[in-house]
Amino acid sequence: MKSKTHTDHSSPARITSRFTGDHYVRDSLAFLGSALAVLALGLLIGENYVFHILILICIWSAVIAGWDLLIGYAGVFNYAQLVFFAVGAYASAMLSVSAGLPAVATIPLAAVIGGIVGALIAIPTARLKGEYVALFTFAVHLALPAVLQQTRGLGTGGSTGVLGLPPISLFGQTFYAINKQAWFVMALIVAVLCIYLIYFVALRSRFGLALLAMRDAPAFSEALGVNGRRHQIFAFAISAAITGFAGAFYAHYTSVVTPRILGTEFFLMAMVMLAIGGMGRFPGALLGVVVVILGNEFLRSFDSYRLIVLGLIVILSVIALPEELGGFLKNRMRKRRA
Amino acid sequence: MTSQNIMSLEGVGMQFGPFHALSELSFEIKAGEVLGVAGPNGAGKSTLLNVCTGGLCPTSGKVLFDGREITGLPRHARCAQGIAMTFQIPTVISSLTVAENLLVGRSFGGSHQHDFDQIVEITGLGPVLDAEAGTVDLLARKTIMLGAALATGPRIVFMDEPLGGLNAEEIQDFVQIIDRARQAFGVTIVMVEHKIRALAEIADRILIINFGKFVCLDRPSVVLNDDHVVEIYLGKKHDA
Repeated sequence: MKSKTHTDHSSPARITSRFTGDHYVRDSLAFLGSALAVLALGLLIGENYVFHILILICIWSAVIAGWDLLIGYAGVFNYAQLVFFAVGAYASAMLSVSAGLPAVATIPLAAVIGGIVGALIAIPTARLKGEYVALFTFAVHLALPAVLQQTRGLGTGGSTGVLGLPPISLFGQTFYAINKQAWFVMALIVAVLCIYLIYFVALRSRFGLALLAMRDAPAFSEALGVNGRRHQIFAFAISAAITGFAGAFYAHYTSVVTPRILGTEFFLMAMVMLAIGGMGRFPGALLGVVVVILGNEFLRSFDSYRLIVLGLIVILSVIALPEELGGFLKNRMRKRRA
Repeated sequence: MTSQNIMSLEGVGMQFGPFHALSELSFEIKAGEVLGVAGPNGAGKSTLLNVCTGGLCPTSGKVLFDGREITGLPRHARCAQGIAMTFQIPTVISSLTVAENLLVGRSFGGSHQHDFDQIVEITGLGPVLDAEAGTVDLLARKTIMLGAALATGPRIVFMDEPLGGLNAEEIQDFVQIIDRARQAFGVTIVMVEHKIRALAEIADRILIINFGKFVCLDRPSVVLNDDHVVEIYLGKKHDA
């Protein structure tokens, strides 16, 4: 036993599986090594514009990892992921601006609030199947801007949103958004934490085994003793907490929160990241984030044609890489080993 | 009665709208036996299985396991008490390995556990343990289902048409696996099966239902020579 994330039951010697700790240390080190490489690369280049791009990649990685947990691994077609992002962002904004709490307190609190909202959305969702899950969760997404408009009195700021979020202060130092290097390091830590929690702690445990089992064969898994409903609600809570955490962090980075984060462009970008990267094929989804963020920057000169070009990239990637980046990489690795 | 009852149904009825899939069904399952359930198409066999395993909650009557009522318990809760099942449509957790399929049963099943290595040995899944479960053939899928069910540490296993789609040779192999599992772990087996000849060979008793109603329950030799049963399957003797 190499880690405490494994099954409670001691596993017999004949099972070698990532759910019983197989390759756990090796894979963790590979992941942390890649993160260190990104850190070194960023610091070496040391340019503000590059820092900004890397910060966006980090924040989106956390969001997409959370979404991948639900769509890719739990097989739950949740379209309310950006609701969790917005809940985190608004919670932290309202707690820091209206209640005057420091960012270091409001960001973790936002994650907790996000997790609670996630569980609340999951309870009715767990009663639905297939496309009805998508319809219900997308309805929640579409309803939220109107709700924010109506709750202006509570401090959501209506369509203008919340302005003037305080920067993060840590160890007696205040990091303003202008200090891109510090924000890059913080964003990387946030991303590594979120990704590790999802792909290495949650998904490699007994919990992850239950999610995959429920995704592939729900009735069979229930017959094998898996309480599908409970695991699904728990998956929503984890995913929402992590996405809310990322949303709060993002809000303090940009220092404003507006209903724009629930707009079509953000939503489409997130969809494209998953579509290109691949669902349930770590690290596919994260590569999707990198490709889309970089593509978005390179295509800036195309201005309003940018979305068309992004759309074309999706179509081409679906045709040329039917198993997305994640599946493509996996097959390449297999071939090399064989 | 020398042997103890492991499960009993008391006046179980299952109504879907105006349709009575099961009505006033009462019988007992003895611990350690192989009980075959047969009947024509639409007799309510699968409904009966679902009522016993938690896929459906009956609209009337009671289901008792070990003397305790379990009528309203869902599948996973019944599994924890030692009730397992395999499905008519061969279902496996396709993206996991064969070993991981068994691991699901072991990790989430009841507190009692059958020896894992012995399950692997009996089912003969040893050579394919690391294969992806979605890639194996029909017999292997059925064996994985049974293996995973056994890994939950059940006292009773319900099997819905386990022999369907298998050829004569595979039927023999699979019946042997079922028989060995039963001897090794002392599990009670209830199997719904169309292949009445194979059923007669493996079952200690056969239950016949028709139109959701109890017809008879006895030793295979008695049941298969029962005039009423022959009539249900073949039509009246002196029709024409």
